[in-house]
Amino acid sequence: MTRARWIANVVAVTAAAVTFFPIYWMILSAFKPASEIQSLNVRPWTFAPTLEHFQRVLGGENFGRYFLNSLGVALAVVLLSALVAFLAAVAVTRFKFRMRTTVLIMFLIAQMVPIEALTIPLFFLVRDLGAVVPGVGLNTLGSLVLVHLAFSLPFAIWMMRGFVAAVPEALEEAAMIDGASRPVILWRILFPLVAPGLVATSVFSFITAWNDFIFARTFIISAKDNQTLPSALLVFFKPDEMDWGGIMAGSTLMTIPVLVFFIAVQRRLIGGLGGAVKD
Amino acid sequence: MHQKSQSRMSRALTPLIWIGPAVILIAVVVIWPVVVMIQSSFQKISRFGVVQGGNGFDNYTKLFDEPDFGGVMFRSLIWVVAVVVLTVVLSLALAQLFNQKFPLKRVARWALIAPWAASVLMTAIIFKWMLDPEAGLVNMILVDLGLLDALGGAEADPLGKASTAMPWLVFVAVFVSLPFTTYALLAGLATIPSDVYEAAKMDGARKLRVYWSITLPLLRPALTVAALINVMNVFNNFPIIWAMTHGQPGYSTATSTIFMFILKGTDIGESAAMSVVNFGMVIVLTAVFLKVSRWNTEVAR
Repeated sequence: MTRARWIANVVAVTAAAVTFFPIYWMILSAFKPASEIQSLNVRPWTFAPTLEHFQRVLGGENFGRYFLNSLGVALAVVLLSALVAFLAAVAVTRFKFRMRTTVLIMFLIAQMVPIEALTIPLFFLVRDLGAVVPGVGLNTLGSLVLVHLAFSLPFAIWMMRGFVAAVPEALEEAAMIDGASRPVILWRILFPLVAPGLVATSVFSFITAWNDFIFARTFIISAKDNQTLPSALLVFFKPDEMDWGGIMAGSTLMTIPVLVFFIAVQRRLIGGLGGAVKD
Repeated sequence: MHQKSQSRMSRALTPLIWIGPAVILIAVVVIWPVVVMIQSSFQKISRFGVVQGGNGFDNYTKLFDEPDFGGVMFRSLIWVVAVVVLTVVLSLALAQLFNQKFPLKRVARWALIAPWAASVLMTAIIFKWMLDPEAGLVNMILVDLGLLDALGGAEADPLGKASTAMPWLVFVAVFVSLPFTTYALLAGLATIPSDVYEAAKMDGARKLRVYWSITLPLLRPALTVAALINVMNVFNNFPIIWAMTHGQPGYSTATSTIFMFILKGTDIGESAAMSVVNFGMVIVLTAVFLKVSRWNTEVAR
């Protein structure tokens, strides 16, 4: 009995080590001197850690600016997505209205669209929208916020539905009898109760916006100042010889903040996913 | 009377106000481009994107006549089934393991979540690097173990051979899907009240039996949601295959999204037709999946 448990624990720790390995390799390579990276005698450690790759990444090409751009876009997407998805989730769970099923099916189908297939129509859409609303046109960070926001919504609404449905309606009715208005009920009662679900949806919208490559490459064509992080990494990809040290240092800088964020919300994440999958 | 109609009016309008922003955003930014995509699949489009008029079903006939089309569709199906089944089975085991208390559990959970935090594109690039015939870590280990004669060359290029490239791609796809799936299942496990297990223990049920007839059925909602999200994500996945093999050698690792992207370089209309077929297939897959999982509910009852 205890032996079986012991084996299970060893398996669990080994599995965790395996899943972490590529990230470990990335961080390790970021600190390895170039000579060790090119050596044919790779070792999973280094005795001469160096900051040369980080200096190269941080020194060139506006890295700080790109970092802030990525962060701004991702945070804007998280906040707006949480707000819009919350309102929509309340509407589809608390109201019966015509077209409700149609709207729900539309949300589900929107979740299945392969984004790579839509880059051309999206390019023209953003260009045309930009003529009306300059803030979301080509070469603006607003365009990234808009597109990521829209693509994050179906999943977010779907997740939030479970949370809103789990809150007993009697609670809202009681508040209404006490004379509270709809908005007050929404923000004072419902919102805090579904907050754990917002953590889970935020994780999803943050990660797609933060790691996005394809939209940034499609919409930000000439405005150098409005590039985001993944584009900053691109300078290290050279067809003749890849600068692995630079790539790994850059992606380490890109991954660490997300990893810290994930670890911070990890416990809530389980609760957050739980509400959504509870039926 | 007047007041009543007004309240009915506001009743009809309130949900519209709340759901409006979401519906407008999705309709304009997601659905509209899909409509354009479907439209352009029926148009003749020059290589530079100029629409030269209608094309009837010609783009589709051209697509279906591509010698690689059948293989691509079959491979997409195998790809999604293999990745999702392996991911779900492994995640069930991992969730069970990580639901126990053990030393280092906290750190182990952090490690488990890590691939989720990293960009899928970067993870694929790191794996490609580790599989490099000249400088790849995997090959160096194989040489050290005496399983491989020398670095470089065809033998040392697992992504260059059709027989080994696909399994490696599946491996990487499973790898990046594991954290989310395991966490969703852990969340499902957390919703199962512990007294259910105590009752089973009192009845003297065996562990495997408890798992099969108590844990698994109670885990079903979580399992359905996690698997469904995986089906959609894996079917549409692009960065892994694109970064690691570009669908090569000889289209042997090309799924429908990769094929669509390759076609974009030669014929935009045909590429749009591929997108439409791809989209239709996801919808069918999802519908089948929902049907099957609901059918299971009936059986479980």
